[in-house]
Amino acid sequence: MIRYYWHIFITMSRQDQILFVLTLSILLLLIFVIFLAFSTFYLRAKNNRKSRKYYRLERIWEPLLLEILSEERAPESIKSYVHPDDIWQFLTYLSRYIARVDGEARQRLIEAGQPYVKRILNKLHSWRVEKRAEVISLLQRMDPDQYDPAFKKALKDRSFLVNMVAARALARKGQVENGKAILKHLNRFEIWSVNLLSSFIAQVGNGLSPALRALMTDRNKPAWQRTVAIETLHKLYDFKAGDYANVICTPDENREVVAAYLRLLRVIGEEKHIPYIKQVCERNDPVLLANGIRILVNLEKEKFPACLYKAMDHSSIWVVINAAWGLKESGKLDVLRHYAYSDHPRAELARQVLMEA
Amino acid sequence: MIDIPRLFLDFFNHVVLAYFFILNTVYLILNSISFISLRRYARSMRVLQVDELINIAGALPITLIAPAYNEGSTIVESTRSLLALKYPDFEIITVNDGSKDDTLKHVIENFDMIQVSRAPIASLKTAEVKAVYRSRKHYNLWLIDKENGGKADALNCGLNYARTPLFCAIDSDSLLERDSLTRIVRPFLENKETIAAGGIIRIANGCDVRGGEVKNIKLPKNQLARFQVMEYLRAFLAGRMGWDTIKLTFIISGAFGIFKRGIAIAAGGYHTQTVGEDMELVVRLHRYCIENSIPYHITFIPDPVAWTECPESMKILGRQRDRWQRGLIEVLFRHKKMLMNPRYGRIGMLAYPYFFFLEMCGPLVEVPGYLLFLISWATGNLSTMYVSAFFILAFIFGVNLSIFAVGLEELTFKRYGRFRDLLNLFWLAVIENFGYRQLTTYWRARGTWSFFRKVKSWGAMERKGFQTIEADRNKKS
Repeated sequence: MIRYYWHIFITMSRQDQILFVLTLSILLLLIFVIFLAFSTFYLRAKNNRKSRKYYRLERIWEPLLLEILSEERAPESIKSYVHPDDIWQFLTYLSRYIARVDGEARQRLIEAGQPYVKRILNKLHSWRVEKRAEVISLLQRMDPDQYDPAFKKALKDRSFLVNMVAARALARKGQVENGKAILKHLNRFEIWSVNLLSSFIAQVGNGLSPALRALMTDRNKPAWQRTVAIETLHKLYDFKAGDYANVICTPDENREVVAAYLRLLRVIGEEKHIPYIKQVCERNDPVLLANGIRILVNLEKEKFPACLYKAMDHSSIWVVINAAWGLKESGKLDVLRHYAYSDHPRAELARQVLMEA
Repeated sequence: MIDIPRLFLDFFNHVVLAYFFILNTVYLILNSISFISLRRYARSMRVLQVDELINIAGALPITLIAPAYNEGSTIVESTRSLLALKYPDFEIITVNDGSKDDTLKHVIENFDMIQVSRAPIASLKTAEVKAVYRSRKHYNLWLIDKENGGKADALNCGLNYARTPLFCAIDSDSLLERDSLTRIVRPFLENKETIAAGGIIRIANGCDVRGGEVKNIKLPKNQLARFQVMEYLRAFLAGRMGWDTIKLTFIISGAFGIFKRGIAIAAGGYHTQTVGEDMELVVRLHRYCIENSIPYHITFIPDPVAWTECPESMKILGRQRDRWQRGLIEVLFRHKKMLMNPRYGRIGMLAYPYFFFLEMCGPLVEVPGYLLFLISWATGNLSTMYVSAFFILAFIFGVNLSIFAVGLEELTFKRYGRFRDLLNLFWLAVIENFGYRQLTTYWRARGTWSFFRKVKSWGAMERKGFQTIEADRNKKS
């Protein structure tokens, strides 16, 4: 049959062939356009129906959950109010309540969700990345520790989104073992912002500090991983990390690692760190110098650091800003005023620092 | 004997056909890709909410740079809208670019600004800064009064004074949604290589504005503005989303885009000799990062919204489109080195050629195409059937793309909640093909002509101001 039509087509004149193709395209596009229009209307109707349905269901569930919270109703009694098709919606709704309460009330709500949680576990293997991530997110809010192995497995998932949701779920529980599992798979998170990653890991708590310190000083690890470790220690206010200044503040150390360490020292630094910081400042790297100056100001308040005067003439504006703030913080307002009302190239900046609170 | 005019007509008709086929195929592919990625985006939003990320990691400080030139009618409302943004750490730098109206006075009086000292951090060359002001009411609001130098110059000036790792370039006649900064910052948290991100621009004409926020979203009453609603839906939801999915974001609208300050300065800031400074910066960032082997990511996200007032008169709209076309040509000519250059990867081999051959050269094919098609038909070289079939096909293709965009909107953000608006959008998808599309093609062709005549002017834009509830009440009383 196809051959028959093809034969007719090739026997047509060129003009007719083009006309035929155009007509066929018009027909196909017309069908497509009608399909699109109907799909859009259908979508609108479906969305409206869905939101009406969820609104209705939530109005049914809300008093029941409040009764469970006030112990007027047993958690398992909600079963008859949740249709199997609405499990996902119910768990999402329930998890919003769980997030707002704690203690025994939280436990009662978790109990109410337990029969349904098991039914969504198969979605952990869904082909859709977002579905897998969504299940992990939901399970994490539904709390029980029994899903930790699933979360750890999800750290190896091929999707970054799933990795991150799993890491968040593990970190939130605050168990050192979970934290170690995240550190083990840190290479999966290279793309994420260091700040975000370190904030996640810091949720595990101080128990993870020894492992983080080990990572911080391990020169075989990539610099970004060591930076994450230092930023996490910074967020944990880990004073023991200060004992490694002799290892990190060396001339051949990676610049990002040293900069992160200086930011840590700004919080936990002591007088014993001064020689190391001065050594770093000698590298004349603007980022390191800007960070170093501020720590020196804090640590050497009595012996006012002379390097501030030198820094006021530095070519990097960030170094100058830090020096000006250093002058202000160390009470050298007269010196700063001298800069501000002279013809020094940074006079305006000095005036700005003087005016700012 | 060879009939040269006929041969020429034949040849050109084939060029038009090829152009039409390639352009619409690209559009259809982009639409389909957008469909998939918008669905994924909506789902991933549910899993990892950006508010939560910000709560955990803290917000990246942002400086909003809003250049203003003769924006007296909208500046107060739009600054209020910026001040009301829901974001933990941001400051606003409004740059008065030598306005001839009362823009400066409005800002100083309404926000209690006093002159202060503030030193620039970077040293991009700009027109002279006359004074820096800071609000006594809002500690994060700054005003820089400078000599006129154009929008790019004003942006560079703001960039010089910005101190935060990120800056957000916005038009001062735009209204950002409350959570738009929270949303647009997400790619910077999720991918440390992100250097720029753009949000979606929507039309505020016809919507009610209360307290600097768009409240009641409706289609505009003005027909020209309605056509632009449809155009923006197509351009952002289908076009830019599609390009972003294949990691080829080539344009970030000047009305709302966020950049890493350091890299924008290192690349030289905004180019002041073009009217397409927003696109130019993005193309230059691509080029700068590739040439310096810097890993980078430039992206578009479909849900942070900036509402803007679009032109409601043919004259102003024509000027705007003329300028857009000139800007496009200036940018593409300036970076012509990238065209089909494998060194620039997919940007040089796909995105640049698309904008060069299909967007820039489009009017040069379409305008003569209409004329020569008619000549071919009048001289009997093309049959009436053939010409009609072609125009019907072009019409249905156009309707198709527009309805696809409406479908994408319905699938994801559902901003036009009234059923009447949905019907109107369908109607617009049909009628825009009779006149409006041809007009925009004409304006683009005129822009091409202006470019070759070396016209550099921005063209005055008249602003009506947003339809605020307060203004409505005043009118009634």
